[in-house]
Amino acid sequence: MQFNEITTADIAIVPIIAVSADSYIRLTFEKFWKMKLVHLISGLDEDKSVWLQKGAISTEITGYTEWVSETTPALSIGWDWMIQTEGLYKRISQPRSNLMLMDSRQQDFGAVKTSALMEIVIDEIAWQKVIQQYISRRYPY
Amino acid sequence: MCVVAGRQEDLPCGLYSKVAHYRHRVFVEQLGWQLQTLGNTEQDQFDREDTIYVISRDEYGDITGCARLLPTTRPYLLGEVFPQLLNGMPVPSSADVWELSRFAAVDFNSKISPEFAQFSSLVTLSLLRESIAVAAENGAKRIITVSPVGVERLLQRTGLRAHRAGPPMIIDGHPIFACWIDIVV
Repeated sequence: MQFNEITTADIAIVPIIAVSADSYIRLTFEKFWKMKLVHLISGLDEDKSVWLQKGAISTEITGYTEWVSETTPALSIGWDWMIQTEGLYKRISQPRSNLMLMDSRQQDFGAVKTSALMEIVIDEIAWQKVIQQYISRRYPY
Repeated sequence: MCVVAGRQEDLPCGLYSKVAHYRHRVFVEQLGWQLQTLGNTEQDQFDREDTIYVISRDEYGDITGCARLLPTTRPYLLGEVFPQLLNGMPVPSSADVWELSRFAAVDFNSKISPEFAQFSSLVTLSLLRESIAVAAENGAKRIITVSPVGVERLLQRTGLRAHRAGPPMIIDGHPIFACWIDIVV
């Protein structure tokens, strides 16, 4: 029987993620930062009419967007957006997710800090253009 | 606002049939969900003798909201129909996990335009908290729901400890999620 020596160069480093018993996927910020998120779906809310004091109606276009990781199990993140008067898309909610970030000692950051850190990552993604193109195709009017 | 909770046999005479009609108005007629119907009523295999209903009514006795609670120790919506929403995790089956479904708070008597098709009145948060309280009274420590985006947004706004269990399924072009709600005593 012959054994070949295995070097570190032969070993592929594959990020391992798992779902905890409480359904959270727990990651350090560094691992989360490196994950690739892909667009799943976006949609418009029904037009919201806001009655103003004098009876005038204004409408704003809002919607949601959902992104996932290309892993199994999958990381799932969604948030709400609105289209501003200049036609720019702006995030208007905190992210909703199955992610719990933790520190290097594997202590949970908690929901509030996890949300704040997710916002940093989300705001680095060029999601506005992706959604704009998707919405244009989904609602061609 | 008046809230009534109980199993079918415990509800005031005729109220359950009004709930079935209300659910038809909200979920079938307004939201367009493809559900089992009988005439202008909506009910499915999870409307059983052990199902608990939480119902809000206005001063005229008209229904302004409803919710359905099921123990996960017997068949329930998520476990039977949408287990894939759990991201590979086993379907919960525990006396301290209950399912919340068919949650709606549409006041058809209100003149105020609904923000979302499923929630239109100030009773939304009260009904949600009452539903959670009823689940807790029956031993629940956590609640699982199958929720569209609107319910998940509601949970986010209420400050409840809630989070999604995994990625959504896309049904008729709309994402639905499994969401956990932790009951904090």
